[in-house]
Amino acid sequence: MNAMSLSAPLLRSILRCAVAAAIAASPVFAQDLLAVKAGRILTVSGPVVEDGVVLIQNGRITKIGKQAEVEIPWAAKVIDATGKTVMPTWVVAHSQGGMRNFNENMQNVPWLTVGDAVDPASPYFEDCLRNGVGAIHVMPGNQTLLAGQGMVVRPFGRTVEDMTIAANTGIKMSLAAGGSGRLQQIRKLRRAIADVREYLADFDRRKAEFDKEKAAGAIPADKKWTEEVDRTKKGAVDLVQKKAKGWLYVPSFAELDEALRLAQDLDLQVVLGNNIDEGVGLVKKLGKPVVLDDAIEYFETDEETQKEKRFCSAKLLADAGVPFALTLGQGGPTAYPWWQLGTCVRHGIARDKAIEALTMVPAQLIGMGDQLGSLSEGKLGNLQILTGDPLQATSWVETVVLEGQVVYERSKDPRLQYLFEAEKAKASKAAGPEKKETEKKDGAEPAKAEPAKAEGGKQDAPKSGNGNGRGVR
Amino acid sequence: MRAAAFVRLLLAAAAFAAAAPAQDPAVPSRTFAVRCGTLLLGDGKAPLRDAWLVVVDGKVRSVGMDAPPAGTPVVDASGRVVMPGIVAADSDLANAADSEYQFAPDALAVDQFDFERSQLAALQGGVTTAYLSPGRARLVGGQGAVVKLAGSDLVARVLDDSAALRVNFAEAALNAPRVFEPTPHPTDEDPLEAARIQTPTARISVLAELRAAFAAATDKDLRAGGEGPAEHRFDERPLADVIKGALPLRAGAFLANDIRRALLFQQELGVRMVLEDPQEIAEVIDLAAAQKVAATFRVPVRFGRANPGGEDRLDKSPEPRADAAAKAAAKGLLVGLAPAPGVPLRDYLMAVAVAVRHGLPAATALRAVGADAAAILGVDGRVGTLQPGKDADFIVLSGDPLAVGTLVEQTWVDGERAYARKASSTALAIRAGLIHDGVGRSFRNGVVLMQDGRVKAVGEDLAIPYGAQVVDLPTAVVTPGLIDAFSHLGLAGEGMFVPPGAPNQRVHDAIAHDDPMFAPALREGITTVLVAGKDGGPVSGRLAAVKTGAADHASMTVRPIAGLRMSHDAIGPDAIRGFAEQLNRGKQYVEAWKKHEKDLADWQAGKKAESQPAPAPAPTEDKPEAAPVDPVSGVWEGDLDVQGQIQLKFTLDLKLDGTKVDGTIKISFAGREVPAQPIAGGSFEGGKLKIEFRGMGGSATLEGTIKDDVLTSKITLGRMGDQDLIARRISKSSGAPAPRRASASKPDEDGKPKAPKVDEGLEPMRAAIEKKAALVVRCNRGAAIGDVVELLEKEGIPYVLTGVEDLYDDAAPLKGRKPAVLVGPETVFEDKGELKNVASMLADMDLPVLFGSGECKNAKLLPLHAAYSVRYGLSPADALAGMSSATARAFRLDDRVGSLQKGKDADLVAFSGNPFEPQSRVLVVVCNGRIVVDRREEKQ
Amino acid sequence: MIRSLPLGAIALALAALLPAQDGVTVYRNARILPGGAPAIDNGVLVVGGGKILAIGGADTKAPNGAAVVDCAGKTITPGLIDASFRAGNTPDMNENGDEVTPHLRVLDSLEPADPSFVRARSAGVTAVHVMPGARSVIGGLGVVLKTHAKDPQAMVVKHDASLRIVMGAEPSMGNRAIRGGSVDSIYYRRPTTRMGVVWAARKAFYDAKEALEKSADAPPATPSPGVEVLTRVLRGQVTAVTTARSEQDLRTALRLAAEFGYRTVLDDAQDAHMLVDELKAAQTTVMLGAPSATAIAGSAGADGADPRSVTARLLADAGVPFVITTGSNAASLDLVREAMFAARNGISSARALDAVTIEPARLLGIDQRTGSLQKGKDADFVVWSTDPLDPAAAAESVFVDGIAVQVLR
Repeated sequence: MNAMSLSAPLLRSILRCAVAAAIAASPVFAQDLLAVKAGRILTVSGPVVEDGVVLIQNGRITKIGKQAEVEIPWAAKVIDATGKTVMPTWVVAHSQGGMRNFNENMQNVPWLTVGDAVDPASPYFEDCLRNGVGAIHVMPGNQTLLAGQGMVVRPFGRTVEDMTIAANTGIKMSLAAGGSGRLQQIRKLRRAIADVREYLADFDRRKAEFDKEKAAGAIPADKKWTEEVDRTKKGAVDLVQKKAKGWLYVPSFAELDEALRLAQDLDLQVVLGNNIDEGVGLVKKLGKPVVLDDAIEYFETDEETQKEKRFCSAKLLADAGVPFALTLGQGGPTAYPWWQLGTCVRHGIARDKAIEALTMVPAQLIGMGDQLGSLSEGKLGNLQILTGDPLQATSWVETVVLEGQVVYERSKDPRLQYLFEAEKAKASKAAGPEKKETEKKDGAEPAKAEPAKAEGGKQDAPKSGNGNGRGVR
Repeated sequence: MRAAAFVRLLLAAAAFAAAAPAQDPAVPSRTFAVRCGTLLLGDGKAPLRDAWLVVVDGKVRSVGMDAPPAGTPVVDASGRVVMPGIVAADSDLANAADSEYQFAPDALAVDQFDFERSQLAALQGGVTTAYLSPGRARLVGGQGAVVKLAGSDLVARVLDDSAALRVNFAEAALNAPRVFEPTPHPTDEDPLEAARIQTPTARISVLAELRAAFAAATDKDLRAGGEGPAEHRFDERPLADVIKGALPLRAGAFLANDIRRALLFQQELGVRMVLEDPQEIAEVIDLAAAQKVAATFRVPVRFGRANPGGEDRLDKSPEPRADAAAKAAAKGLLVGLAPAPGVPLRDYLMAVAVAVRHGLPAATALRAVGADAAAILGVDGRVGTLQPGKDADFIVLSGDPLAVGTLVEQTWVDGERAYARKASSTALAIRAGLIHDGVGRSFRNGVVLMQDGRVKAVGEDLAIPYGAQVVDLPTAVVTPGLIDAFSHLGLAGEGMFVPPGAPNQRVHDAIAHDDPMFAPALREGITTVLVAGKDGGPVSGRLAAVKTGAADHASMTVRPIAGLRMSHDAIGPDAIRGFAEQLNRGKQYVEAWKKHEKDLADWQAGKKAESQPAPAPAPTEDKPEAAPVDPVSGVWEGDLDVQGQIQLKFTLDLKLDGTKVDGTIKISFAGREVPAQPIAGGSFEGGKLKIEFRGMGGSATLEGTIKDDVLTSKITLGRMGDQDLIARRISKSSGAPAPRRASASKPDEDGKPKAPKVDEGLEPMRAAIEKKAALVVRCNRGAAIGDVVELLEKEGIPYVLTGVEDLYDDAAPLKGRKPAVLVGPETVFEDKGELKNVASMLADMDLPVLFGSGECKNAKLLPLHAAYSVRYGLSPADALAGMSSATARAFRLDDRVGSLQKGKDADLVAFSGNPFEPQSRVLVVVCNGRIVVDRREEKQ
Repeated sequence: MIRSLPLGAIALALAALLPAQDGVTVYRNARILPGGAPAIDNGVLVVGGGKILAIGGADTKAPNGAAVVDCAGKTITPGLIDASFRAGNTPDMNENGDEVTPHLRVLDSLEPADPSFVRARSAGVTAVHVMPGARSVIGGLGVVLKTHAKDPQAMVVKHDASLRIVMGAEPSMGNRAIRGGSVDSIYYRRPTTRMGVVWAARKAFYDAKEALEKSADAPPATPSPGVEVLTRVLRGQVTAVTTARSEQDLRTALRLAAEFGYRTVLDDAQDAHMLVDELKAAQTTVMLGAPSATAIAGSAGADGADPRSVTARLLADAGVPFVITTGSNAASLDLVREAMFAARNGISSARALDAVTIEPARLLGIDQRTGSLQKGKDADFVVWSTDPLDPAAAAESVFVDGIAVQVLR
């Protein structure tokens, strides 16, 4: 079934269905009960729980509380994270990761969807798991005009369908000047949107005429209006009708003016590049939360003094009281959540605010505030187990659980083995026995048994995808 | 040697003869003195006033206040500024090419300097000595030289052929061309090598390369240097000389960091160093000061040119610092100044002024082109200051060395004048205590700038442009050149009566621009006169407006027809009709011309349109009558030379009618066209031709014999007496007799409309109707005045009244109109025991009063007549207007004369005081931009 | 509080140490990581006259009238030292005329106003080791500088601190041999292969060795400076720093050193993990360029190298001395962050910190002046908002020779 042909009021419920479908698609966990015993639970939405436990049933969180108070059902699989930190997985509100080529050469292509480009085997998703990311809003690249639909995926699954959390999450737009320069880019975008409006007006006119003639009896009553909105225009039409969100990339302060203008008659989500120090006021005018590029720290050289100044776009917004969501880069330090949060704190943003900027806020911005972004009963069972504080460079993601399913274990990460166990490096290329050994060394039997037994099984495909096949590059 | 010197002497003499302005004695002697208004010695000390500079054998003998022994030839520079010839601490005069090698210490800039080429621009700028730089784009570019920029002895002109060794720390040193030296016959031992990159290519190796080079050139073991690349096979002596201290280093460095490294190198070697254009020196100034280096700066402004990098806002190339020199001098560095590359040396002093504008003390700035520059170049023993014993290199300036308009009037090198500015009157500036521009404004300590015969600007403290001839009259009062509204100047002279005027008389043609009669008027400041013949009858004749101080006939004429003199005094109902009749004839005539112009326009338009060639020419009604075969009829031409002074050309156009001869005669002289005039009478009997005609202000006769087309005759011309004239018949067909002939226009082949006949008689009226001239109407009786004013106001024809006695008592006839009134010479007379001042009475009625002398040689008294009128109550302003602007306006001449305003003719008078004070005299009179009277020196 | 006579005397004695015009400052209540020594909680640092006058626990005595700065909650470390620092603009540092230019001094091309110095010191780096560019096989002499001064000469801590040798592809990049066509072209420059690179280096050292042997009996009047420098390397008076990334280049570097008997430091040794034992045997110090560049997925391997996160740990375990630098890696972060990544990748934070303070100081032979917080050393130190290896740490105040070159808030 093609979501694209559905009209917007239904969109929300479709997201739901999509989620439901995704869960239903993994019946093996349907009966599953998962209990995570944690030294420390950062619920983000609620208070910190020391020595707590999280219960997950049918992929949803059913209970969070002190180990003393919560009774763990006998059937539950238990992950013992005592002395470790448990917190919701990160949510990335805007990313181009996981696609081979994310910039379509044609600029005005609203009918495209990233669903056709996302590569489940991309190392990017591997990295997401390593960094404890649980949901990624994948969108077309920034070198574009009207680039098509994005989608929210989990970094896990054999096929795009497996990964999908929500499809058709909005149209990507960009003010980033391709070769032609800012002026032309802005002009082109206005034109593109104007064209759509024209098309729509014309469409409605014809429909109105049809109805009139029908009423006049010029057309037999049983004849119905059959014409559909042109599929290649559908996305854009939804956009101008405010049925779909536009995700507008604004590379710098210089384009904010136009962004404001567009925001007046479109439902826009602004994605902000850096170099915005001159334009914070304008961002504030938007009156909406914004999504930030992964590069939040940047230098600027003063024209006169030739002195360099260091800026942090997040701090600028925080000071201006503009809510913002952080994002993660692909490779480089900004790929690490702790680096991003650390940078924020270094520039004087409150620690909790920083954490929310990578959990709650993005969850809301992609319209899943009630599903993701915090550990609270009823939300999806997405959590990560960290060896230590999430803002410490020395902390590592031990385990990632998505919808009650263990999808990542550091101890079994062949890439890490390759990078961290030199003497085993060559061997790990051959995989096999070594892996088993590391498993043996590991403590938590049940958590281990599962993937082991899954070997060869059809459900394990994703895991093997997570394993040897992709381990070595 | 002796011979050479002698030759030089002669050359010098010749030079003077050529260049010296007239008033200034040429100085062929080896000893002479310069009388200096102001004398700057170049050492930056206070200047001497009214000092003497004595030169012997090309050297300064003495400077001081005491005059030289009598008989010493004197160069007069009083009222001028004299200073030492400029020493250019840096220049591109050698325009030396860069070696293809990074190391070329043995390249001598002097070798590429063209001694034969005249350095006019430099000499115009007052530069007498210059440093010649070698190429600037190599690590070691070569050796600079110091030369004089003038002089016939090429050897003597070189002060130092090896003044400094140039090393380069700047960007430019980093991209030398790759050298490719292919082996003629490549072998295994001697293979074909690729083009070799030359070090340095990066700053990292600049110092190393230099250290290496100098280490290699001396036994001194410098700090770790580098082994030089292969091309170091050159004469290393210069480097050794540098180490020995015999040869200073010139270090090219722009950026602070490069300067720093230059200074470091200087420290290492411990040698003399001159920094070349270290623009960013401010950042390392303390270091530089500590190391006592000198520095030469190129003032980084290119006047009136695009400056490098200026067009690009994002241009990242390092900014030059105009204040660098000031900063350096402030810390006690020895500083030399030169204009930016590409600035002609003519503007040398202006560049220096810019340095001063950016904080360099003026005294230091002058040293930087004098004593200090010489010291930097190591030639201070010879040039840079005017101390006894040094070379007599000096320049004569029109004013303060750093003033914008100041120019070098003379440039002397080794006691010989190398350049003297031609007294070109391109621009003339008159400074005066008070200037009345004639239209109500006056300027204290003002300036009148004039160029090409026109006024360029009038105002207070105007900057005097370069090259302007300046006349300083601090106490004088300047007014516009005066206008005599009515005179006979130029029409008659001693012993000759003023001819009666006639409308068809082309007055201005009859006047010679150099008529001696003009002089006296001119000396009193009358630069323009309205000239007419004697009055007589209702329409007396034209008024022509001419200049009294013009250089030639063309520039003499302001208006061939400035007015027409008429008179009307009849009264009664239709009295004015006769007068009106005159106007009507004029109007018809004008209409005819208007029509013609229209037809012509249409025809031309049509002609443009039509593509085919025009049809065969239509036959024309007044085609020349068939050529008669009598011996007389036809056009005769003959030349007459009067005592080898006046060349007259006679053109007779005769027609034989029985024995009667009719026709016209034209006498043109000095190539000047005069209208043919009808002969008074003539006869031809028995081969003898006899003609009487008017000419030369008297009657003349011609008697002669005609033999096959040759007329041999004796002609009697008024005061010229008898002359022999031989004329030849150049055509047997006679044209139409004058004046018709003048207007007979042959119709053109392609139906071009014919112009109406030019009626000289009506031309003046036409001019008036077309508002290009004014009618000067004499009428005294109130009613007549009323009629005239009424009529002319109605017709809208410009006019001036004169006579107007009845108006004195009662202005009613004017009905409130304000016609200009011509008065003079008498304006004041006694009436029943009391003095009446006509002029002031009229002026008080708000009538513009115009002064006319009505005189010939006594036109010169006009200003006194006016003064007299002022004495009895006429406001000086009205009086002045009456001799300038008002008159000009009344006669429609105000587009050219009558006021001192931009674009008007440059005519002015400078009085020693108030122009209406009987005792104040005329000092200077300017006419058409030329000083035609200069009585400043006159003792009264 | 200093009342009793003996203490007063001490105060006087301390005061006597100082130039009169120079005040003394006391930094209290800070957590002090002195470098090469155990951390001092609630420590005291006494600074005056650009030197460290005293350091110790809360009871450390400070002279009377000294200005007191309360650093509660802050951490003080020695000024960081970057043992392989990229400064200035590379065109100025790469001589293209010749691939072997041992005598060139990078100092001659340095611009003290270069922004790279500003960045470095604002990130807590107080001393850097700068080497000539990497486009030549033997680029020339490196220099150790403080990161603050107007005039390069004044910045110098140590002249001729190293001789830079470069293995691998960089020196031959873009070069090519004459193959027909116009021989007058810009890229005709040796060497064009790895072989060529090594050959050039070997030839240079061979000549130097020869010169050395000859000069044993009769030293030449003016020793050719290039050779002269190399002989100093051979005599062990100048340290060679060989930039080598891939395993192959590393081995070559060691081989060359052994062949001519000079000791070398290995710069940007990305593949060090592959020959730990050889390194140990050769007693070589390793410069790790930008460990952060080893991203988790995909690698920043340059020049055929295959860097691993484990490297630092392996070297530490094997006892191979190593320092952490920003190196020749364009993607490098602030030095302190590089240390942080090293710590993340498995070495103790103390070890990581030493690798950017005292270790490089020793390696560069400037540990008598700086590199750790000890009485008598230069007052080069940094006040951090929190533990320097915390990603949230900011260098609030940075001091070079006691002069504040960066002060936040």
